[in-house]
Amino acid sequence: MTSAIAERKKEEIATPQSGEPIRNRRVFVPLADIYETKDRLFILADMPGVDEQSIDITLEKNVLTINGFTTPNTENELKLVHCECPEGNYRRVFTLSEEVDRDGIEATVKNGVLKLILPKSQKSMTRKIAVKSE
Amino acid sequence: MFFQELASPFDSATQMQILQDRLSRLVNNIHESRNTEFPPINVWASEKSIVVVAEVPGIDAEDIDLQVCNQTVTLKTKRHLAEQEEGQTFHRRERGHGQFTRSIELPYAIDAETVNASFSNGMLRIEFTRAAADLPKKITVQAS
Repeated sequence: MTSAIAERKKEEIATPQSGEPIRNRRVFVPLADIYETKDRLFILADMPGVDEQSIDITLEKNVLTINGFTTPNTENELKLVHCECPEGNYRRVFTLSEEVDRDGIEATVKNGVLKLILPKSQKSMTRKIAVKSE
Repeated sequence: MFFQELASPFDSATQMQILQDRLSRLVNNIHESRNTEFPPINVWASEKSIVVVAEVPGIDAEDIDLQVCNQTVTLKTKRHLAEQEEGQTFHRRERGHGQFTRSIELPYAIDAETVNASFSNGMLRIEFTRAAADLPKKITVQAS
C-alpha cells in the first residue's frame, strides 16, 4: 500500500516572491506536516541530507523561515546516469497565525526530518470564562 | 528528461517546466500531478562500480530492507506515522507514510558480497562493485 502523497516529486521554489538566489543552486520546498495540539504547534519537514549544523531557522514577527543547506554529493570517477533527486537547498516560509512563545521553541533533526515545536504563548491560548449568576 | 534535471535552474527550459507544473497544479487542483516512485534515487555508474543514492527521510535504518537477486536490487522501506498527540488537529499533511518497495535493475552482474550500504541524515547510499566474472577481459591476438 503506497500513499500517493509520498510520491510527490521535489517541488522547486518559485523565485519571484523570495528574491533571486545569487548562487546557481536549486532550491526546493520541503514537504511538511503541520499539526497542533491545545498548547503547541508542530511542524515536520522532510529535508534529506541536512543535519543539525546545516539548518537555519528564523522567526521574524510572525514569519517563520526554514533554510536547509546540503553539501553537493559527487562520486569520484563515476558518472551520474539517472537523477530523480537533484541536489539543492531547501527553503520554506510559513506565516504563523498565532502568537508563539519564542523562548520555548524546540527544533530537532532526525534522519533528515526536521521537527519544530512551537509552544503557543499564554495570551493567545483560549481561556474559559466562568459566567456567574447575579 | 535526465538532461533537463541537471540543467541550470535559470535556463528557459527549466523555468518553463516549473511554470508548466505550477499551472497544471492550479488548473487541475490536484497535488499529485507529478508522481514519481518512492524513494527517489540517483544512480552513479562506471564500468566497474555503481552507486545508488536514495532519499529516505524519516526512516530508521532498521526499517530498510535491502535485497540483491542477480542483477535486481529491491529496496523495501517503511515510514511510520508521527506519534499521535492527544487532541491534535492537522493543518497540512504532505508527508506520506506506509510501506514502499522499489526495484532497480542494474546494468551488469554485481558481487553480492561486497555491497556496501550506509545511511545518514535520511540519505541511503549503496555501493556495488561489478562481479569479477562479469568484467570485460582483454584478449591479445597473436599473429600466427
